[in-house]
Amino acid sequence: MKKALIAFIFAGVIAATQAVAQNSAPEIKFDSVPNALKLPDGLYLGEVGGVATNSKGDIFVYTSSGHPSITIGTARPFAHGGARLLQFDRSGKFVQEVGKNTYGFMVPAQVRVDPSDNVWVVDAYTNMVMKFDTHGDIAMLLGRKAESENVPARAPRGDGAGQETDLFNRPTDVAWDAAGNIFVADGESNARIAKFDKNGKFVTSWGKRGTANGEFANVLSIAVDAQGNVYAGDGGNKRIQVFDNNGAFKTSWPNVGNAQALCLTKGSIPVLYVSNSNPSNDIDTAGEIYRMRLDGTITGKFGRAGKLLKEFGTVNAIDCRVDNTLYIGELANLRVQKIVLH
Amino acid sequence: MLDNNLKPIREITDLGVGWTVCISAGPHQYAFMSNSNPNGNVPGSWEITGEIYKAELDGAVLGKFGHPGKLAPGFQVVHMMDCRDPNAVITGEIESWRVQKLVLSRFARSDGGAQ
Repeated sequence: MKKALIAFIFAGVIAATQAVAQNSAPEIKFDSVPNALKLPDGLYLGEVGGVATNSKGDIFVYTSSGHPSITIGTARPFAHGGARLLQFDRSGKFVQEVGKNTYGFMVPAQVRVDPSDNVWVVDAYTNMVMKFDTHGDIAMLLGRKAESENVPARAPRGDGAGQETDLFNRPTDVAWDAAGNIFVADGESNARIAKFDKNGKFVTSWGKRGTANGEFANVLSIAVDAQGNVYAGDGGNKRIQVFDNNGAFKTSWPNVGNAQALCLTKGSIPVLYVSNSNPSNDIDTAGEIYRMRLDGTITGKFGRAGKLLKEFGTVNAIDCRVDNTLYIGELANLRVQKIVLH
Repeated sequence: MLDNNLKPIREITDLGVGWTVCISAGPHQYAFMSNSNPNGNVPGSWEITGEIYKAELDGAVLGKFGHPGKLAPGFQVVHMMDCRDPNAVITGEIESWRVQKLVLSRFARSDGGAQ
C-alpha cells in the first residue's frame, strides 16, 4: 500500500513537471512570409494534408482541391479525383501538377520527399502510399485501393493492429531509415506502424489501439532519426512514443499535446518539431508548435491556434529541411505558411 | 484444354491459379499462364506467387519467369497478357497499376533444345 502511494505521488510529480515544462517553454520569435506560394488564376488550395520540399527547394503540396467523383467502371463504381499534388519552385512559383488524375488520389493525408528526391504521397481514403520518382512516374505502391465503393465505405476499425501486410486503414504518414526501410503510420482507423524493406516487402508491424506503452489512440505522424529510431505522434493519447528500428518501445513524451505533425531536422544536432494541432472543430484551442531535442526536452515553442498569419488551423504537416525555415500545412485554414524562426 | 466443340482434351496442372492464359501467334504456338498472386484481400498474398509459365500446347512446361514483387520485373496480380510475339510478352497488373513489356531470353530446354 505504501509503495503504491509513493508510486502514485511520483507519477503525479512527473506529470506536473512535464506540464510545467510545456507551459514554461520559451517563446520563439517568428514571422510568416505572406503569399509564399503563388498560385495561378483559378487554382486554390483545399485542406493541406501535406507539404514537403526536395533537395532543390521545390515545394510539393498535397491538397484536397480536386473534383471527387464516382465513376461506373466495367462493373463497379469507384471514386477518384479528390486530391491534387502541386509543385512549386523554391521561390513559390507554381510549376506543375504531378500525377494528375492518379487512381489513388482522393483525400490527402501527407506528402514527404525521401533522400533521393522521390515524392511519397499518403492518401487517407484510398489507403494507398504512392511513390513518385523524380520524373513524376509511379515507382512503387503500398496499399490496396478498394475496387468498388461500399456502404459503409470504411473497413471495421477492430483493435487497430491491422494485418501483416500492406493493407492500410486510413494511413497518415511515411518515413524512411538510412537503409531505405519504409515506415508507414497506419494511422487513424488502424493504430499501428508498419515496416517494409526498400523493395516494399513487409517486415513487421507493431501497435494496436490502447493507452499502454506501445499502443496508440492513433498514429498521426511519424519520423525516423539517423540511428533508425522511430518517433510516432500518438495524438489521441497526447504524446510522442519512441521505438527502436524494429518496434521495441524506448520512451514516451507526454508533454506535447495532440502531436498531429512531426518533422525531424537533419544534421549533427537534429531537432524535432511537433505540432499540438487544434481539433478542426475548435480553432481556439492549442495550436502551438514545439521544438524539441531528441532527449525529449522542449527548447521552445511558437504560434497558437487561429485564422490569421502566424496562427495555425489544424496543422497536419511540417517541412523542416532548411534550418529555421519551415513550411506548415494546415487543414482548417486551407493554406501553407512559410515560417521563419528568429 | 478443350477442342473446338468444348470437349476436354487434357488437363494441365501444377501451374498455380491460372489467372490468365495467352496463346502466341505463328506457326509454332506457345501457351503462357500466369500464377498470379491473389489480390490484397488475403494478408501478404502478393508476396506468395506471381510467376508466369511458358508451355507447349501439349502441356509440356518449357520454363517459367518472374516473381511476386512491387518493383519491375516483379508482378503484383497479373490480370492479362498479350503474347502475339512469344519473345515479348506484355502484362497488365491490377495492384501495381502498370503494364510491363518483358523481353524473354532464349533458354535451354531440358531435352537439349532451345526456346
